[in-house]
Amino acid sequence: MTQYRIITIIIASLIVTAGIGCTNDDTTELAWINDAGNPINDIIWADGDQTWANGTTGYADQAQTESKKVNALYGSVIASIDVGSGFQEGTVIIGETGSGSLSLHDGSSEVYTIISVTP
Amino acid sequence: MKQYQTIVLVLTVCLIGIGTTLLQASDFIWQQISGNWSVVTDNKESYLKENRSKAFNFDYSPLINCNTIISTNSAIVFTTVTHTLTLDAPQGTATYLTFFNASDYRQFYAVQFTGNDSCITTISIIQSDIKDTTLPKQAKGNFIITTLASSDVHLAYGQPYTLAITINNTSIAVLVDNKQVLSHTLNEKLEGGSIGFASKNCIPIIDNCKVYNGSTIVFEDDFSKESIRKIILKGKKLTPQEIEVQKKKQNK
Repeated sequence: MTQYRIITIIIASLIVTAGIGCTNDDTTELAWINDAGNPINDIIWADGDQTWANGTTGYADQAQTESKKVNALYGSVIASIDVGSGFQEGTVIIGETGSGSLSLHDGSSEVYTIISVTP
Repeated sequence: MKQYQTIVLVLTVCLIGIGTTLLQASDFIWQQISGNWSVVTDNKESYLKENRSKAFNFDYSPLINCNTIISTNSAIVFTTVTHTLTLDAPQGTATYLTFFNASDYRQFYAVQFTGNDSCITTISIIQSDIKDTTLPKQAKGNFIITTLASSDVHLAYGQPYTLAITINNTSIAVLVDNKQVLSHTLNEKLEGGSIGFASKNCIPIIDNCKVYNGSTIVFEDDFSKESIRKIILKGKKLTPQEIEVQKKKQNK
């Protein structure tokens, strides 16, 4: 009987240990700085994996969004901007890669800055 | 004498420069509001296509909630708008609009196609308007869409149709392949505005867009060249050092 108890305790301990091992604390976070000179209202990451919005005021020039957890490590970024005649959607092209898509490192906390809006 | 020659030369160069700038500015006859529209040219022909299908509910206007392009000419008065249309790759509820008389992104009329996974099931004439004019334009969801007329249809995906929208005073008619499918009498005479195309949950292919006022063509595009202006935001990844500097700035 004691043997069974010991085996049960060992198995239970193993399950708990394995469970702790499986917990992933590698949260990937992303934040944005608006350095474009114009307000940016909404930012959408990877088809809606994460969104940033700041009420009706948007993110003013030089404002930083809060850092948010993302699940997708690869995706494109779109943002909404008031162009006067109404709100339009723009694609963010990353200067270093010249691409509309970007890859994040798993578990990293990355910050991107939007430096210009054209036209 | 040499001075005059130099002045004439400088003026000529300036005029050429201004002319080129104006020509470049007028190259864009469409403005992309949302989505990923492009002119596609294959071996046989060229056409307009929206490539993303999925649209995002920014909710500032019905047009930004779809994938939309709008004419840069904002004063198109017409009696007939016609173009070919193929809808492809439906996902869930597919929606397509040819809109006209748009004074802004929330005020317009449109002919709307809606469909399920297997076929296009409804054609409607709709009107979009601002819900509460006292609210700022940043207010989300501040628009109202009214269905003015609607008809059940059974149109196939992947097949080209010719859509024609005709206006005669206040009467509006919708024709598909020269057959009238819908008509309605509006409460107002249309005074003109922008035209455009919008879609979500499907891939529209559009070609041979012609807009007539009487027998005169007032606007046309055969989509033989790229003529879409798009907003581009340039971004840059911050280095760990730059992130630290930014953190210090924020904490000040």
